[in-house]
Amino acid sequence: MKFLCIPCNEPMKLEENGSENGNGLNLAFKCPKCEHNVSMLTNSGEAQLVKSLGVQFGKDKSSYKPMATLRSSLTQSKIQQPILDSTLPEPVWTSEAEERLAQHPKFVQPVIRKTYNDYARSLGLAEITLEFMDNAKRALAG
Amino acid sequence: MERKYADIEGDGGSDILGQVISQQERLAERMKEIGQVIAISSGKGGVGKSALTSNLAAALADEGFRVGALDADLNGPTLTKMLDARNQNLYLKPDGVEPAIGVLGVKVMSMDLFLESYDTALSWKHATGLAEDAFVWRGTIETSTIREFLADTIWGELDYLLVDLPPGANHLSTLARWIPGITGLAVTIPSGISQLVVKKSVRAVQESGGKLLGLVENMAGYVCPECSQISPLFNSKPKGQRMANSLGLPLLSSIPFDPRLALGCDEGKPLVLTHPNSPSVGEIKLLANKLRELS
Ligand SMILES: Nc1ncnc2c1ncn2[C@@H]1O[C@H](COP(=O)(O)OP(=O)(O)OP(=O)(O)O)[C@@H](O)[C@H]1O
Ligand SMILES: [Mg+2]
Ligand SMILES: [Zn+2]
Repeated sequence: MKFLCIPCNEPMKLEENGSENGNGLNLAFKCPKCEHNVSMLTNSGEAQLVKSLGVQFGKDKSSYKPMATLRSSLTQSKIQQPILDSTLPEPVWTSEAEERLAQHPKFVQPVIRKTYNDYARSLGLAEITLEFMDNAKRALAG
Repeated sequence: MERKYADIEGDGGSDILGQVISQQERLAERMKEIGQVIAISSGKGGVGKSALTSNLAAALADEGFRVGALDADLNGPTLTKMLDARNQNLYLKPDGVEPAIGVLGVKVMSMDLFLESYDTALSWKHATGLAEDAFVWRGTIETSTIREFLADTIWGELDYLLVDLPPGANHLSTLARWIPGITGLAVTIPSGISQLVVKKSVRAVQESGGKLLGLVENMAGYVCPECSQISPLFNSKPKGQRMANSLGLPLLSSIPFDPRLALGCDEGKPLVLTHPNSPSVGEIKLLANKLRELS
């Protein structure tokens, strides 16, 4: 879709302030010559079509948003809480904790490690100790 | 003279094409770190695609390969259960989303990890607020979601990425648009009806230029858990070889039905890891070896 300013015979440019209004989109285009403005308003269906392609409008479109279509298209109430922004590194395991982990069959160890790591990260903790494992076990079982 | 559409360069800054191209580039970038992408497909539901995906993933990981498993069945995901990766947290990072971790460290991405609980049904927002409209966008959103699973998951370096497809004729060619090197396995069972449907879907894949490595016949006979004897499960004898011949595909594997395999799927303990002596496991391991040779 392109817009042409008829008096100037000049293609109009998207203004960087495309926004969503209700369920539709509101995109402003401006003629670079005469500064004339037009607004393109879409209904919800048109907006949805564009979004379902994973395409964005406005300021943010160059910044990378992982799984943006998925996350913005799910019925909100159904999204699980812990898709977490995490800058915390993976917790460090003490050698005693590693020993206890090693008592489990080899093939489940990665799953158990991830479960304890998840719990630690959700509390903002950076270390897995035996004491933490005991507490976590109680908390996660309850 | 007034300018026409083609006279105007660019699209005034909305850059839809550019965005679609950068989606593709991101996906290609991510796939560069992955050795082989193999889709487990079948025209028919319930033939054991997911059971095979999870056991193959475990067999390959058991041999020391780095393995990822993508559950492309958005409406009926089962891989997190079969690989013991349910209810884990997902972490959003600047370069993508950290996957869940299943048995033997297999990296798992699946729709249910985004939902409130394992049992939550998938439901997409539909802008008009009318439930009748939801189906209109469903296809496009679901295709975009699978693209995002591929491109936005932090898979890291993998030897194998297995993709568990929902039942249907030709999902493989959708994936092949994004991943030119992708190959597929076609799964069937010895029942006449399944063979009919699977044959059709294999032809559809072949006609669209999709690359199938071969046919896998699942539930080919019944393993007695007591004596490991194999007896026929369906009325007819397994005839996977004949079917494979008629499709011009190699028959890669005939996997008997072992009730313990179903139990293992339900418990998140792939049979490959718990009962290495089951004849079904023997077949799955052979298949894993063949995949290495076919790559
Ligand atoms: N060889 C086998 N031995 C025993 N049970 C099996 C075998 N293959 C599959 N099953 C069981 O059969 C059922 C259906 O298998 P599965 O869910 O893997 O099929 P599917 O093709 O993925 O189904 P859908 O099309 O619904 O995704 C499951 O309970 C699974 O554990
Ligand atoms: Mg399945
Ligand atoms: Zn103008």
